[in-house]
Amino acid sequence: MASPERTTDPPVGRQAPTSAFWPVFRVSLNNTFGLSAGRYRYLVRRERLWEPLLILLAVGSLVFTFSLLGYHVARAFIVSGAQLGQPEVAFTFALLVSQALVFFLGFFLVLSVLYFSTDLDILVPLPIRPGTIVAAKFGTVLVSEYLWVLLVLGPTAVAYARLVAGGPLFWLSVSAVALLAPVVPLALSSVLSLALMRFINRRHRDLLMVVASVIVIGVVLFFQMSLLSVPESELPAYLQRILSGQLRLVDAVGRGFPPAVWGTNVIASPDPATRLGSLAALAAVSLGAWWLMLFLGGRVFYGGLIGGEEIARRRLGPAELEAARARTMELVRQGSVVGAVFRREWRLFMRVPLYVMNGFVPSLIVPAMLLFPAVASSDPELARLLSLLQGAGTTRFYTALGFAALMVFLAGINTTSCTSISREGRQFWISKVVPVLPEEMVKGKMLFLAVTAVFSVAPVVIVFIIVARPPLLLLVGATVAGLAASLLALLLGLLVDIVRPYLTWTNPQQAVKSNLNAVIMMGVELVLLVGLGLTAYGLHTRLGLAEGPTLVCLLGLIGLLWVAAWRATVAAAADLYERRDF
Amino acid sequence: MLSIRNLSKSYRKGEVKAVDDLTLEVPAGQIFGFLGPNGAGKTTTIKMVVGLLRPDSGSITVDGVDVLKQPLEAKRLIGFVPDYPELYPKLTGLEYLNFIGDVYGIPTDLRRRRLGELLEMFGLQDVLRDLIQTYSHGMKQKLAVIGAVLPDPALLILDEPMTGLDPKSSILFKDLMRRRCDEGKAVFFSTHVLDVAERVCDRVAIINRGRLVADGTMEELRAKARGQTTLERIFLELTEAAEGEEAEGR
Repeated sequence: MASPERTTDPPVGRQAPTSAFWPVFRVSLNNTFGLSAGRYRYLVRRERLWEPLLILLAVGSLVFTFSLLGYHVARAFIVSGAQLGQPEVAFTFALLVSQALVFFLGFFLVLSVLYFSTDLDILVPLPIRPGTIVAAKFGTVLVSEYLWVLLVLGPTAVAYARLVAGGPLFWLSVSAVALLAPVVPLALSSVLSLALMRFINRRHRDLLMVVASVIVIGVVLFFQMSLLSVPESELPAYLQRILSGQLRLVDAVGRGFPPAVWGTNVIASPDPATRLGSLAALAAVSLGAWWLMLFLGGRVFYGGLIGGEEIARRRLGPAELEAARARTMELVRQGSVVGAVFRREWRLFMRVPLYVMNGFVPSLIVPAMLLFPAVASSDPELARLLSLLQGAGTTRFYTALGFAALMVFLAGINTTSCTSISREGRQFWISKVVPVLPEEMVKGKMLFLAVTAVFSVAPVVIVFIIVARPPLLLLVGATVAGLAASLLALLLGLLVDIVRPYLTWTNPQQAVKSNLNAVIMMGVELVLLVGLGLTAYGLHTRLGLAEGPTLVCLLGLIGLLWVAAWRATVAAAADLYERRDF
Repeated sequence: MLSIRNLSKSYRKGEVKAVDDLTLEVPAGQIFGFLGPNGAGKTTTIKMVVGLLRPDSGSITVDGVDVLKQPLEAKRLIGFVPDYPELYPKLTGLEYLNFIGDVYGIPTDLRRRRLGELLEMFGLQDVLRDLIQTYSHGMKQKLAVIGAVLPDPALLILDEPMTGLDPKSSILFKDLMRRRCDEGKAVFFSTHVLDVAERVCDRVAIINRGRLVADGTMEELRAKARGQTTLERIFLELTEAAEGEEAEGR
């Protein structure tokens, strides 16, 4: 009897797929931008349909503001450059700025997607080459980096087309350069992060993020100081000197980073051969940087990643073990429930450098940016403004209120409060199952936020003292009002996050950077600041109330708002902890 | 100890019934195994008991305390270990256990005594001051178990508790469960490992497609499953029979 013919599937599992890049890239893109989650929420379940509208509004207004600013800066460069017969220098500058942004911001994004992302636990065991994972992750970051390139290069191109020359070929060239522009800087920052992560001990990697962030802040402050040390009236002449004088920006940049010059040539060179040659050079270098990144990724990515977070532990002898146990037991002691929540919040926040940088850096940078011109600038206009601020009367009072508003602004723009719940991520189940009253949970979280408020208030107070030299009573009044309103802003941020926590993130970067609550919080804060500002104006200027009573009334209003916000927050917390599904 | 009455939970606005009119009774002093194929509704049921999900209808009481009406009091009676222990990676093991001790209000002396025993049992003494992110999966599982047992809850609820535990820890853990039941407490756990359920449980419930298929001691289940002897066979017999009945009903 003839046996039935057996059909067998080809052994596909034993061979690596032709290219795993596209599947991994698609999944990574989907995961990073929440495409499926968004489609499911908005199209299938039809929930929170206002969110996409809000995102569009927020992103749209930001893009519009940046574009307008970029257009004016580009216009100034084109006009200044035209006087030297080099209007295209605006493109060199735009490319340089966008590529610097891509390099610095890309460094953190690449680190976050390559080494701190939880989907690696799924990807690494799959039969995919490490270089493919690196390439797919790189592609994902590249997509988000195009936003920066478009924000900087777009307004420059529009300004150039209006002032100098446009046409289809011009726009085609701009598009080609925009596509290639972020590849080299992002590949370089990827190579840097791959190399660093290969040789830095995993336990010190958080520290690396801090050091890198501090360097970036240092660079920003250096440029800020350099620009502000020039009186505003002399700024055009200063720019002119940079453009025409010894610095010769184009040449200087060209020597340091030729792709920016090649990009400029592709867009604006009158010679077709130069345009084609520059495009070929830009494409070749981009390809080379991409290849270098893949080559290095293929060799060192797993070396830097594998081994996980687990650490080898030395075997202790009996005496050492006993001593270690005794020391451990000494640390076991009872504390209050609110204290336990506070300590947990503090530790989970302070041990993630990204949270610390997002939470505290704006509170230091913004006051520093105010302080530098006050102490370093020789601009007579600024000196006159300072003496006005330091004078008596209504201006001095409103200056004090302005500084109080700055405290509130800084407390609100950092994402600490509006990610209070979101930061717990997938560990949120613990908060749901432990027997803690929602009110106690809110108290513990608010206590932590109150401590962070000190960090946003203290630098402003110092700058206030140095810049405005207020009398003691006004200083105390403004500080108390600023602190009280900051606490209210933080409570409102906590409320926003309780109402709509984002818990499904895969790396801490997403918890903070991809959290719509930050945008909502800005709107809430704007309403709060405008409301309090109008109240102060109405009381002091319209009704003629003296400074002291105006401040007392403001504090009363803040108190009332605080009580209302507290009740709303506790009610929302009861819903979150006791009724909502997780 | 745990009483579940007519519990239902559906997803996608009622399209998918995860748990359908489930009624269960877990007496004090018993280890209760909760079995079912993937997607049967085990984890959904457990999540409703511990307060992670809110039922659409039905009631849950723990030692007479209504989980929905008195959630805080009910949580004090429950210790819970999820299927995958997502613990705070940036806390040390000790900080996590102190957090649990604080929120359950465990006094220092009692906490030290209980921790001393549990850490000795699971061999975590010398790693307790390391960050949880440096722990292996098994160590995290052990820490989650210690955190759940530390408050000495009347009802211990475990979702796939043996995953990640080494053989020695599994044996110790089974002993621990038995000891707790001997003290008049109860253990309610879901598992896929039928072998473990057969050897450890005093009583077993089988759930399929959100509905209770069978509930009883091993002897009672054997009788119901037409003489099948092993739990594996009983499980297959009962779940397949239930699916057949459902198909006929359609």
